[in-house]
Amino acid sequence: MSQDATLPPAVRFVRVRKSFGQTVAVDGVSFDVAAGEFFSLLGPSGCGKTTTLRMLAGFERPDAGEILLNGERIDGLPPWERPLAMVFQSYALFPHLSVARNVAFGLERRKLPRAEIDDRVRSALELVRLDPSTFGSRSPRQLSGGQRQRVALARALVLEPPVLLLDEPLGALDRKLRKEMQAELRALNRKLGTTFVYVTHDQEEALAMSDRVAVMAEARIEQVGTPEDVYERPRTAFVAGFLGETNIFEGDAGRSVAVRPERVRLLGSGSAVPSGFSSRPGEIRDLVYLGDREHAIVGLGSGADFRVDLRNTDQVGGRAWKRGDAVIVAWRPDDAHPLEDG
Amino acid sequence: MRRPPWWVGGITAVALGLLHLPIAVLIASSFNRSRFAMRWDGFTLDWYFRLLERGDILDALRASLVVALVSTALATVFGTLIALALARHAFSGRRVYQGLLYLPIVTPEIVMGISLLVLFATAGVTLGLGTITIAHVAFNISFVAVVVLARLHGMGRDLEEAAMDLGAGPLTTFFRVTLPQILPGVVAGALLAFTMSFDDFVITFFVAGVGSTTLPLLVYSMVRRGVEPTINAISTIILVVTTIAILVAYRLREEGFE
Repeated sequence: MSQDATLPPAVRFVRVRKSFGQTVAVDGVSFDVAAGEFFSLLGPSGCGKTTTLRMLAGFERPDAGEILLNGERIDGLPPWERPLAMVFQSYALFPHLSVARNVAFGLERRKLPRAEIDDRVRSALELVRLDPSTFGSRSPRQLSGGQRQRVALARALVLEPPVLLLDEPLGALDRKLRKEMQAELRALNRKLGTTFVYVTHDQEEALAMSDRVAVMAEARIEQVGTPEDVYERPRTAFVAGFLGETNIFEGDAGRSVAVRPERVRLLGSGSAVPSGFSSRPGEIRDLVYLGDREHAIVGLGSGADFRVDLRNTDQVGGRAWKRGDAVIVAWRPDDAHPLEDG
Repeated sequence: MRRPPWWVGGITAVALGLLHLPIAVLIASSFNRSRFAMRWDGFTLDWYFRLLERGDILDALRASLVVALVSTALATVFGTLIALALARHAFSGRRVYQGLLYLPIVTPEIVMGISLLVLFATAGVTLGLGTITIAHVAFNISFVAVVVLARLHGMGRDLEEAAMDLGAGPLTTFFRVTLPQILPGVVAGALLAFTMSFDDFVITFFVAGVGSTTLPLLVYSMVRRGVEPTINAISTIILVVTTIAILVAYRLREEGFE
């Protein structure tokens, strides 16, 4: 991630708004993406993340606000005049063209000499680890999902765009392949220095890949920050609840407070609470065995459920909890994050 | 699945027989040496060769082909453009236009024929091959547009957006991506239009005027003077041409959707 203060951000959104009829899809969204950054827009379906990306690509015109690329406004330009390239969720490979012709499509529009096009197509396919002599002449129909994904990536990267847009590109792949591609995309981002703007609804994916994440809900950005920021220090109940599991309860100051299940300790009733810890008494209502860990669901007196994560290495083996056990849940005050009203 | 009772098969056989037996008799008669359908005197191609000696039939065939080819070409271009506008652009009244598209398909031919005749008469246009062609374009546009529209909806917008994202302007996108994708639909629509034009009688009858005769019009006037075996031969040719066109069109419409 290059953070040169003299450089304008690679992408800047300033109070961008877009509605479709009565529905507000994006409501005054502002954010910056630094050059070379892996930036994710994360949120549930219908939160406006895809519309945000489509406005950046030029497929939708914002109703208000500004979109800047390297300091220059691009929101008035049609998609074919924007130097960005996009990887589509459906891959959108041209079925009537071979793999090589698909990858060459953008270069041909730029009227480059044939020899240069052939060279760049070959290196782009090699970059995404597809053998050009094996795959170049194939039709997209003859490829597996993972191979199509790689062709779509090569077709975008071959243009050496300053910013690469990715719209849930791994959604259609199985779990193992998805993990593999996550690592590869991350490596490509570092190796090429290209800015990546990545749209996903998968919080694990966003945390694993991104330099920074913008969490969106209901047409607005709830929080922008590093994966650690948004996971460890969620600012709103939505962010706390959307990224992993969390316990939200009324804190001592009367504000809502969130604490992660893995930060909570489970103690037998009557045992001493470590000094400085906050605690509540309760009763184990259920235990859910998950292999690497176990969830204890603790009913507190107030009627709320409190979820505690017990890692298989220590606590599960250390003591066999049973349903109905009277317990104390305890956490360090640092791990409890006050939430903004939202 | 349970076997249907025997009488279902019987009804089916009768229905199919009523539909297809007359056509089968007509085709057989066109190869019959006898002038009368009831008697089989042996196989002959005489009736087909006799067509070649008939100047009126050859003229009508030529007129039919010219009208069908020209009206198909025009209807295919306009119909495709209409389908593109309806599928890819938002404009006020789009739904109304889409509804109007089906109007020529459901309008009784006789109504369409009369209204076109009134239009040409009011505008002072001389009736002839020109007015026949215009009339055929008018009803064929809808058929082409409906077929191409289905294809465009099936294709989605992703491919076109990908092309634009890669630097292709609207024209390049159309010729490099959209057209190759919808081509089977366009060709299917064109074949359908050709068939509709080639065997149209009712509308053509109203707008033909004197002196311009297409093949269906000639067959009609010949039948009024009595059924000659050459008519069986012409009808068989029309049947074969249109059947082939429809079969190819049908195959093309199915093709390409994965």
